[in-house]
Amino acid sequence: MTTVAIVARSMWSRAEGKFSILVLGLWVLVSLVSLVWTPQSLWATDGYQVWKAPSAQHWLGTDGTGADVLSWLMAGSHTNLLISLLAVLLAALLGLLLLTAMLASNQLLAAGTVVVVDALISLPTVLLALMLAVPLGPSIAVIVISCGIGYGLNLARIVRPQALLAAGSDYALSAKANGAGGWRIMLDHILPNVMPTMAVQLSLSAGTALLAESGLTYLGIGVPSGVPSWGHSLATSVKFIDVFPLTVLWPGLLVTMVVVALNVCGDLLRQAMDPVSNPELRKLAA
Amino acid sequence: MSMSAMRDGCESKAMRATPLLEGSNISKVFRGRLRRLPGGRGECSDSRRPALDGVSVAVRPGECLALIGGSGSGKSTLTRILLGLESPTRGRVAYRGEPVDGTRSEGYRFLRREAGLVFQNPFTSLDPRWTALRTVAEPLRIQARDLTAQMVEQAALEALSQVGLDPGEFAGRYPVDCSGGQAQRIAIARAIVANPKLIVADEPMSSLDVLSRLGILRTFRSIRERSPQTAIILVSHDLGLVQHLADTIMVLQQGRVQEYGPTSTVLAHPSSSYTKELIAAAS
Repeated sequence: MTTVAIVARSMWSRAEGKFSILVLGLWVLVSLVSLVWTPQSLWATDGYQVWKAPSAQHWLGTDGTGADVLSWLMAGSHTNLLISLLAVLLAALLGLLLLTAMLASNQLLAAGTVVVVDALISLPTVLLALMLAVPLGPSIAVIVISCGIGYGLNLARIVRPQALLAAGSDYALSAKANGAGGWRIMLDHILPNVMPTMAVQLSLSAGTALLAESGLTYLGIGVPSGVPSWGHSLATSVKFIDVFPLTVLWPGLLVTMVVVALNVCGDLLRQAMDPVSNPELRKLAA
Repeated sequence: MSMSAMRDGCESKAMRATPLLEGSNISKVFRGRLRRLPGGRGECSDSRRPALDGVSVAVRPGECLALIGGSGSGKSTLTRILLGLESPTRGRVAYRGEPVDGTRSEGYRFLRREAGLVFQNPFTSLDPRWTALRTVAEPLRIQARDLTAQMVEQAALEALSQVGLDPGEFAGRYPVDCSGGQAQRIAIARAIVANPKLIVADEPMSSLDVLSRLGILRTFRSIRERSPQTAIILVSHDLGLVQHLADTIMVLQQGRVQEYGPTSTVLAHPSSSYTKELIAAAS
């Protein structure tokens, strides 16, 4: 059995793992399907069909323009998937870059990076997004860049103590004594030992990016009008929550479920892919 | 040949040979905290006491040197300086006659290729996410010798076998599934896999139970029998454990050499009261 199969089986063996895999799997599947098909055209509006309750024609009802809510949520899922993936990717790259600088043998660079990270980490993501929105305007880039920077700084700060422990460990010293350079020690010993913590932190960041998308789009500096996203669906219907609560419920429920699934997934992934905590992986090597 | 006869033979041969590793007049002062005095002047706190003070040592091919001393005596600092992993405040280190002075020096590069290291705590010296096979093969992979992956694996399996571990059983094991003694043997296998000319073991038995200690001691003996030209620096606070293995003993106290000479001489005619206490404690 391969490592991937063991990790997947370990996650599937738990109820929360099944929930997480099903929700995230469905998210990816719907995102892909929505690129080629949605139940109704996104732009098919009908002034006589506004705020309709769920029916055979409109499974989740219609919004204030008479457009199909399910179709907009399906189309929005790939926007949100893209935002989460790009924000996490940027956060991982920035986090690793900062971590490398914080572990540099050049004390000035290492200490300077720690100070810069500590200073920038106090900057709220929303404020960063507001500043970026001035030159960029409301766009996906604003969400991705602000979240990527904010989460990257957090990642570096959270992972640093564990990375320092690995860097100062006897096994790293042994590698150094055998002639390994700083990069080799980083790739062979430090990164694999901080990877479980990084996996948890990045999965949390993916979930937080979804929440940030909703918040920033509601503020008018996130996904531009006309581009489907869960935040956009929430923003357009939230004013009518007293009259038509269902249209707010669907995107809210989706965001909540996916965020919970991402959080659970990160934690389970950490346990499943780490040979120290997963005896099945150790048996495979034996 | 008995162990003591072999040791005596090694002792005399070792004394005649050219030093493999030599440290001359080594001193080390760790940077202490400055205490601010009125008027803005700084004064060094007591922590500026030297960790090592004018220590000279030489290890010859095939020699086993035991560095003995209590906690804070400077044993570990001395070994780190001898290995080029730390710089001395004063003094010089030479390996095969070449100075070990910074990572670009010839002596440093020789040392990296020819020295194996064993640490005190086997569990912190092994990467928890690496199998025994990967750990043992690491020095060969780092040194990028002209070996295929298969040859590296074969050498690692042989090293495991040499330290008394069944390769079939232990190659795929992670440290978490090993006992202290088994983990320490894996660490020793890593130290010997590249056929080192020098093995430095920093208190390799102190965190183990009595039986495991004896096992590790036997492992070092068999290494000496198999590779008579390999020099060993054995750091310990227990004179009783290493006296049957060492050709030469250096006793350190508070960074200063109290005693340095052939094992038989040090044991029979100790000159310092500290050494006498250690011998009394060991007997």
